[in-house]
Amino acid sequence: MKKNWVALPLAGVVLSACVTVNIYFPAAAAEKAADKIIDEVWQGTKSPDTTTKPGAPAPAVPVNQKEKSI
Amino acid sequence: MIEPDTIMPDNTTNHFFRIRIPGQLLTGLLGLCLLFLPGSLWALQVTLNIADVAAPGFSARGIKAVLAQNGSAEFSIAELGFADRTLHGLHLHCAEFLLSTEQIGCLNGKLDSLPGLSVFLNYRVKPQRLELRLTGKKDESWQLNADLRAQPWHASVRLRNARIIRLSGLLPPDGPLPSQGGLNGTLAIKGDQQGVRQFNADLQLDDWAVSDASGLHAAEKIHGKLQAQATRTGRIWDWSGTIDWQDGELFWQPLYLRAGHALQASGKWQDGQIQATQAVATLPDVGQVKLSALWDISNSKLLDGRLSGKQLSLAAGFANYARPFLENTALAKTELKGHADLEWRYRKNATEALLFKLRNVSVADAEGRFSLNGINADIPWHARARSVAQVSFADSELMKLPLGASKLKIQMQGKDFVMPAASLPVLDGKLEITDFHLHQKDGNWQWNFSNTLTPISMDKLSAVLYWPQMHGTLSGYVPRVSYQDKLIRADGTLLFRVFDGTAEVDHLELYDPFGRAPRLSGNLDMRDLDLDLLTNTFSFGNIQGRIDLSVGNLELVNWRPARFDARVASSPGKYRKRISQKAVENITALGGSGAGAALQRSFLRIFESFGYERIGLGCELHNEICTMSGVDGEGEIYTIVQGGGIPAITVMGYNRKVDWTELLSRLERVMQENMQAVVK
Amino acid sequence: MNALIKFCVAWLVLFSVNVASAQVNIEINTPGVSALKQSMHDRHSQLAEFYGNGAVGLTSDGMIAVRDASAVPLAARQKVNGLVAAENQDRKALYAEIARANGHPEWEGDIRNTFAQRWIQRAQAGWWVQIGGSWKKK
Repeated sequence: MKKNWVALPLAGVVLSACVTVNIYFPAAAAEKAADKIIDEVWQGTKSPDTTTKPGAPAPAVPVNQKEKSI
Repeated sequence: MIEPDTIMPDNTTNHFFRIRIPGQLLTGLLGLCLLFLPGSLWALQVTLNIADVAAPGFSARGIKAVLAQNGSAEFSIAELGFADRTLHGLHLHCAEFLLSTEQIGCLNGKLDSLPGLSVFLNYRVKPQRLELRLTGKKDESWQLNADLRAQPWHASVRLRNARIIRLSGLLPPDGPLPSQGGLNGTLAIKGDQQGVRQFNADLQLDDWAVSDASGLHAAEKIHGKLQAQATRTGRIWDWSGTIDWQDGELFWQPLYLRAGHALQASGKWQDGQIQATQAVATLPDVGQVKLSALWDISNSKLLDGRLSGKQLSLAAGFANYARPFLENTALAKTELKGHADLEWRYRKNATEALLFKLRNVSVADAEGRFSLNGINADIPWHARARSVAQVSFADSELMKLPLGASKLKIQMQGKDFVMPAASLPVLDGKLEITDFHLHQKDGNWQWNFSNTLTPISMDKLSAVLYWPQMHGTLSGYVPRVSYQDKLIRADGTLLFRVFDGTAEVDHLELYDPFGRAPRLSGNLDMRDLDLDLLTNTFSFGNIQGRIDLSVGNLELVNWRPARFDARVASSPGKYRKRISQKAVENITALGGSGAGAALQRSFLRIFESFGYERIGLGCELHNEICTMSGVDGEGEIYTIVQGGGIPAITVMGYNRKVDWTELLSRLERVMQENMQAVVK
Repeated sequence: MNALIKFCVAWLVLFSVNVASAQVNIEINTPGVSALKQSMHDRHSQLAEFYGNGAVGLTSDGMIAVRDASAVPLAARQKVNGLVAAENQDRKALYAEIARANGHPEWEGDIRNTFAQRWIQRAQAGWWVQIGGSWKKK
């Protein structure tokens, strides 16, 4: 009985500890990002602008206009 | 070494001595030992071992002499120590060794540690005269003459093309070591029972190159003159000397200096402390500096120092001696001009006073971020006393914004600076600063002040900043601007009156203002802007009406938008609402090329302008993507211009996710085309 | 107690699997990163020479350092010093900016470590890199 009293709050503590573990660092993505930056910093004569935006979203679809009553 | 015919059962004599002798009698020692040898052994090879010799400031261990029958001799010392240095494995070979009651001589000798030098040694026993000559190729010669019987005894060293590389073994191995260079000149020493009493040196340095292993402390092609003399009275040395650096260059991280420096100094030397009482250093292109210092040799520590100079040129002075230490600060690219008087006092491990007088000084940042001209100042700073600095300047510029002349009074006490009030003219207005306070907390500088900006005209401001011509005024009251840990924060509101409306900026924060990527954040709220004025200013096709613009969570990094939540919407109230065909075309052109052509093709092109009910456009920028919204709408479709009146027009957007850079380049293109149209 | 630990471990595994599946990209298309990248790219044309002759090497903590200044003429050593100081300032700002732009300023150290490994791994043959405290030529 007494044991349960201890176990319950303890479980709470341990559980919350478990939850904090999930703030982790995306190592693989960071490595990819690092490689991309290193490429751009170390590239020789090529202009860096040509590679700044791979993977950026597609440009806007034309904003159309339509006319209403005259 | 041992010839077969000389081998005898007992051909070697071993003697072990432990000798303690006063300093000045060392030279005769070896000779005396040898004189004790029995004459009958002379024809044989003799090996003589001496355990060690020790005297104050001198020790030799493992001394061994081998005398061969052919008249040659070998001497070796396993360990020789003097003046805190230790040399290991010294070995001298004498092709011809003379030993008699009259004299000791070594002809055609070779010393292992000094390759390429031929050794000549002659010691005449009775008059106690020593002559040591080391000679080598290219007329190199090191010559020592000593008269040890004279009172006072004296010795002189004459150097001719002496290669300093031979001294490498005597220098601390982790410091800069010579790789080439010659010495010419003389050294003279006089002494008595207590040791050396007088010392004179007159040396010319030729083409020296020294460097430490890392290359961070090095000098090359050094030519110079060194003169020094010192006289001892009891335990106190009085010394004086001059160094004249005639040619070459020096890198002593982070300083890089070139020839032209000279130093003249005199002082005392006692118990490991060297004192320079009257020193004058000549700094090329800067001026002359007077110095005095008390230096603790064993701890390499400055105990007391004073430096002063009048009418020093700041251009070279700052660039050569100060800026290299400011590599990681906002002053790393700063140029100074003008003249200054300077006095610096140092005591008890800290600067005690720093007095500056600046005359017609200008400060300019090479990247054009700030400049200050015509500075005249009197800054008498004391670490432990209160004083007042007077600073005035003729004009200045901050981030291209010109500021007028001003006079400042700054109260100083240690690392605490207070300026109760200052007034800086900005164009036709004034920036009134009150309660400026600069101080250090936990080793970091921080400051704060409050300010009021009396109205300045936007016409002038937009002209000096190369913005499109705007009308109106800018003013503001900011109760507190503070700087701490690289962050400038403004509490309060900046108020603009532009385009016949109002604009308020608040929660302004600027992080790392002089860094590579300064970050500005804040909120902007504009009300009742006159679209007619606005669209004409930015050459965007005429629109009539009024709008409100709010930009929340604005963040500019390197002065480019990184994030914001912006919304433009028609202001409440009654006013004329018309939108020109050109403006409609331009709004649609923002959607991409070709979209505008649709209007051109339709019959609507016959109308110059259209009526509208509401305009609304929002952009939430995050990670370079703008999420658009309009007056209303659902899904991917939203209304930008809601039609109304006759003829009415409605403009719709069909994509909510828009690439920000793409949008910017389209906007730029639209405005450029319109500008050209105006020129036609 | 044993059961409790098992329970916790099970949770932990579940949680990390869950989160791993929701893994995000590291965002580097921000004006701050671009500005720093551009500045470092511009500087690289000057630094490359000094990587090549061994004057400057890549350190194991994601920075660069003067390794052997004697490879450079005396008059240029101050410039090398300045380039190294400026580069390190940019690198430090870059790691902090990436962490901040991704909403996790506490990742700065991890990002720096990742970069440290990648700089060294991708260094050109002949450049000097610091591995385990000592300099090695790639």
